[in-house]
Amino acid sequence: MTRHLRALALVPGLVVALIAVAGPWLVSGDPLSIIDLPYGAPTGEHWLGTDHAGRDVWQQTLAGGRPLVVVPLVAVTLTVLIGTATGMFAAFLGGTVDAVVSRLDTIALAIPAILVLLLLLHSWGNHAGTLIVAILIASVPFVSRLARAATLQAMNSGYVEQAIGLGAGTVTVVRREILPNIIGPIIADAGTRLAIAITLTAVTGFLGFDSGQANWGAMVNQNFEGMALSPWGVLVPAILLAVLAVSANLSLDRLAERMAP
Amino acid sequence: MPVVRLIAQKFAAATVTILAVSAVLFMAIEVLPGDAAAAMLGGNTTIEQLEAQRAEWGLDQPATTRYLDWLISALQGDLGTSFISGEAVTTEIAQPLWFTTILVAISAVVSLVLALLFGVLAGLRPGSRLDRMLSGSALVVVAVPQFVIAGLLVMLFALTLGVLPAVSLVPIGGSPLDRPAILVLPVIALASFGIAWAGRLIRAAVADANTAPNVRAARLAGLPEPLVVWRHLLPATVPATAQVFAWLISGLFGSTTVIERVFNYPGLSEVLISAVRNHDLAVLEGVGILLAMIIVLAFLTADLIGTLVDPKRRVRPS
Repeated sequence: MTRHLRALALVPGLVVALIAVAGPWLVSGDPLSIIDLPYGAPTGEHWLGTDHAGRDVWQQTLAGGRPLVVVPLVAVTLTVLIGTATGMFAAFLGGTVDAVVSRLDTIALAIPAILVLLLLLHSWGNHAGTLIVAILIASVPFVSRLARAATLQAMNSGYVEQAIGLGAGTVTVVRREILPNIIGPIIADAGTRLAIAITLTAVTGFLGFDSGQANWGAMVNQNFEGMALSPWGVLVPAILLAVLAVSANLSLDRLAERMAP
Repeated sequence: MPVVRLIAQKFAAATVTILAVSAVLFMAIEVLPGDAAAAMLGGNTTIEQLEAQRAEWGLDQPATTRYLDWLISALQGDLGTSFISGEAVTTEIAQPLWFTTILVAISAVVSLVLALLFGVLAGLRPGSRLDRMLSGSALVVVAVPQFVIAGLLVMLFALTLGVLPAVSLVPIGGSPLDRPAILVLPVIALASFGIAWAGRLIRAAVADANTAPNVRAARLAGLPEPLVVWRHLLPATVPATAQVFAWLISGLFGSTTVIERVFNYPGLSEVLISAVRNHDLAVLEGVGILLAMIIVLAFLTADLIGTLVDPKRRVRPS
């Protein structure tokens, strides 16, 4: 019963993801063209009214979700792969490799992520690539540290030594003995990484870097001041963002539970 | 190994980290496109004027020389001069840094207190109805972007109920503490993530400590539950909690940038964004290194607390 209920909770997330990915194909005309007075009420033609500049809120909603699904998904997948690999091999190989990786992680963690994001946005402009690199710099050290600690724990538990003693090679030991034991906590943590990645992606508009394209984060930011006049330009993208982030987190949490040894 | 030597070692490691961060920051800012002279003088300038301005600011020197000069002054408490305003960086960022620190400090304390409460309530009975309710809401709060939470808060408390200000106007010549009402919504927006995120981690630590032999023994010996929690369970979670608090400080200094924009709060956010725009290297480096120092110090403190509380960790780290 509860399992069915929990599965049902993911339906809104899938719907929002569908809107985000397929939305740009359903847009009619330029979603950023000015069509009416600012902060207009919803009409039969413009379902959610107009925004601060008199642009159609519904058309922007359709057009502005894709980067928020694609960028965080790509960035977090890369983060988990790179972070797990560096942390695991640092712990497994020890010595100089471990010292170098740990030192780099410590340095990266001391630099505020927002500063990295601002510098990269300024240098490279507001593109998907910039955001992915900024998210990687901010998140890989976390995952790397987590993977390193989990690997050290797994290595102290005896069976890894046994496997090595039985003549298993490095690749086999990592794949068969270590990876299955550290993947649970890493996936559980990936939920937080994903939430942070979605925030960093959505927040560029807030920090004053416009990508020149419709974006749910930018909509919340731009229509904020006129919220008393017409709330739709803020409320709709904000709720879609929230549903997307919560469902992604719930699914990762369930995945982590299933993968726990 | 004596504890004093261990502490000295950790201090040395933290200093090395800060030095490395300063070098990395310098390099990163160095490769930014555009330059400050062009940004300040505008489009209608001759090459000679640009060269003269660069020479005045010392930008014609090689990067290593400039870095070493900067480092030596920084060690004496001088972070250079803002290219744009001509004021000392320390003067320029003192007030915004102080305002941001007020916001972060209050949010951090609120987060920690409520996260501890959440962690203990949920972690003592893992799987109970209370645990599922708290952990479920925490998952939701962690996931929702903070500026979305901030937007919904403004909509509810400022626009609908009209009980709290939507914009954080600081009285001229005063500080945010003179008008505590302007701090309420930013602190809720920042602390909601802090409580949920830290609460989940503290819950795990509490649940872990709850099954430890000494806690079980204390229960079997018939000690009253509050005493078991206070004397036997909580001390075991101190190292983990200290670590979580350090992460919290580092995370809050990042997310406050966005929340400050939402509420027009006069903190570091404005300074950082305009410094990036205007290519104001000195200000960027100054803010970057001060934030890095705060973060490294937070982790160092957490590490020391963990070491001092737990005798097992007083051995040489592997």
